Amino acid sequence: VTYRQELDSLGRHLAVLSATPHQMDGPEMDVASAGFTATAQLLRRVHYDLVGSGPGIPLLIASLERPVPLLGRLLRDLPDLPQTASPSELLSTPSAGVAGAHWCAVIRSATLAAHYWDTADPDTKPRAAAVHTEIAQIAALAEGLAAVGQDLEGHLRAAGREWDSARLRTANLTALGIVASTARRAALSRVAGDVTQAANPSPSGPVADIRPIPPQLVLTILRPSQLADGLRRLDSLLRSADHLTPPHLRLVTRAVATAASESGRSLHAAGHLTPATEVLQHARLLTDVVRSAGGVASIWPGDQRPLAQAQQLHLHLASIRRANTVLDPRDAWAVAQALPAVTAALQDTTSRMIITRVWVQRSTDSEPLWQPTRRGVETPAVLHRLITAADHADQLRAAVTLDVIRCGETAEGKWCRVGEQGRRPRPGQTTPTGRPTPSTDGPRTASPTRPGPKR
Amino acid sequence: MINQRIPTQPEPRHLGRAARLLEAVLLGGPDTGLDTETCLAVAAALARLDDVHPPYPPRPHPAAPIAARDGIGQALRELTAAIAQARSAEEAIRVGLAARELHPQGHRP
Repeated sequence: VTYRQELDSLGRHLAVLSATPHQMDGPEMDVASAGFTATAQLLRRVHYDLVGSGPGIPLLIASLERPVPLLGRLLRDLPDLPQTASPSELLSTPSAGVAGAHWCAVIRSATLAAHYWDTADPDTKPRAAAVHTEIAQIAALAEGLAAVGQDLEGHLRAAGREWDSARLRTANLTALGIVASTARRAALSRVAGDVTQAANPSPSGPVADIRPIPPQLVLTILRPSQLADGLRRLDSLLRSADHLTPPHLRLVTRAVATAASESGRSLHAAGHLTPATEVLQHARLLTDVVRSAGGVASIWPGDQRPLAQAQQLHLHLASIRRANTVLDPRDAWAVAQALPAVTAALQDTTSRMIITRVWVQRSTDSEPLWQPTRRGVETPAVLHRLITAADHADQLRAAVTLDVIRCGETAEGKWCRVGEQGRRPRPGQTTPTGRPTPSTDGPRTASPTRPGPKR
Repeated sequence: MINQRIPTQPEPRHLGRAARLLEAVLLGGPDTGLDTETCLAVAAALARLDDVHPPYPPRPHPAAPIAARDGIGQALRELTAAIAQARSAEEAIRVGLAARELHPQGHRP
C-alpha cells in the first residue's frame, strides 16, 4: 500500500459519502468528526508542503484570482472537531450504518496517507509540473470534504450538537467548495501545457508515487550526552517503521521508561523538583504501558531498527545504574525534553498498527481465540495506557520547556533563568515572580533548555 | 482550442453510460417526468461530468428521451460503479459530486 493508493481510496470513500444521502446516529457522528479532522489535517499538510504558507490572503472575491494560496488559507481555517476517542478507538467500536463504515475508511486512509507523506523521501515528492497535478488532487479532495462537511454540519445541528455545528458553519465550507473547484481547474490548466501528461495519464494515476525515506541508521550511544540524540532517533525510527510488534513495543517502552526514570532521578538530585516530578510520573505511566502490552500479537514481523535503537539506550542506561551514578543535569534535561515526542511516536505507531489491523488480540469469550484488533473487538489495553501517557506528555513538554524554573529549594528561594542557551541572568534581573536574581551566588546546576525535536 | 491540441482518449465505460442517460433524460419533458427542478439538477450533474480531465471524445447523441425517474436511477448506479473504478481521487470526487447533484432534495437532515 502506498500514498497514492491511500489517497485514491480516500477519494472514493469521500465520493460515495458525497454522492448518497446517509442517516447518521451519535456514534457515527463521532466517527465522521474524526474522519473530517483527519482529512483536513492531511490536506493542510500536503498543501503546505507543496505551496508553502504563502502571503496573507484576505477573503475577498478578488482572491479567487489566486485560488491555490486561498485554498491553503481556507484549509487552515477548517476546525479540528473535538473527538471523544482516538481514531483507533473509534475504529474499534461497532458501526452499524453505511455512513459509519465509509467514515471509518476515510479515517484509515487519511491517517495512512499522512503517514506515508510525512515519511516520504523528499526527493520523490512532486516537483515542477507534477506539483500542479498533486494540487489538483488535493483541491478535488477539499471539494469533496467541503460537501460532506456541509452534510455533517446539518447532522450535528439536528442532533443538538450546536457547538460543533457552529464551528463547521464558521469555517465557510461553501467558500471552500468554490475555491477548491477553482483551484483544481487552475492547476489542471497548468498541467494541460504538458500535452503528453494530460492526455495519457498512467493507469495508476497521473503522478508518480512517493517513496519512503531510505532506512536510517541506528545511533550507537557511547556517552550520556548522546542519550537525547538516541531518543530523537528512536522517535524517527518508530514513525518510519513499517511494522511494530507488541513484544518490541514492550521492550522499546521499557527503555524509554528507564531513560525517564534516570532523568527524573538526576533532575531531582539537582533540585529541579517540578520537572523531576513530571518526568518520574511519566516514567510510571510508561511502566503501566509495559505491564499492559500482553495479550496482543502481530501477524507481521516487526521492524528491527527501533528495537536496536532501544537496545542501545537500554545498554547505556543499565551501565549507569550498575555504576550507581546519576546523569549530569544537562543530559537529564535534554532527555526529559526528548521524551514527549517519543511517547507520541509510540502512541501514533501503535494506533497505526491497530488501524491497519496488523495486530491480533486474545479473545476470551468468542471464537476464534485470536482476532484482529478491529470493529467489534475491544481496544487493546496497551493503547489506553499509551493514550494516557501521551496526554501526560503534553504536560511534561510544558514542564520541561519553561524558560524559568526554580533551581533548588534553598531557604533564600533562589531563581535562575535557564533559557537562551543557558545564559546566566544579569545581576539584578527580575524573575516573573518579581524576585531579583542573585548577583553572585546563583545556582550552578542550571542547564540550558534545548529546542525540542522537530515533528 | 484545447481539444484541438490534445488527443482524446476513451471515456470510462460507466461514466459514458451515465452521461448518455442524463442527456436522454434532458430530451424529455413533462410527459417523461422532467420538471424544472429535475432538469436543473440533471443539467448540473451533466456539467460536472463534462468537466473532465483529460478530455474525452464527443458522445453520440441519444436517440430518444427516457423517463426522468428511471434515467436518473440508472445514471446513479452507473456513477456509483464509476466511483469504484475511478483512476484517481480527483476523478472519484468529481463523479461523486455529479451524483450529489441528482439528489435535489438534499443530503442534510
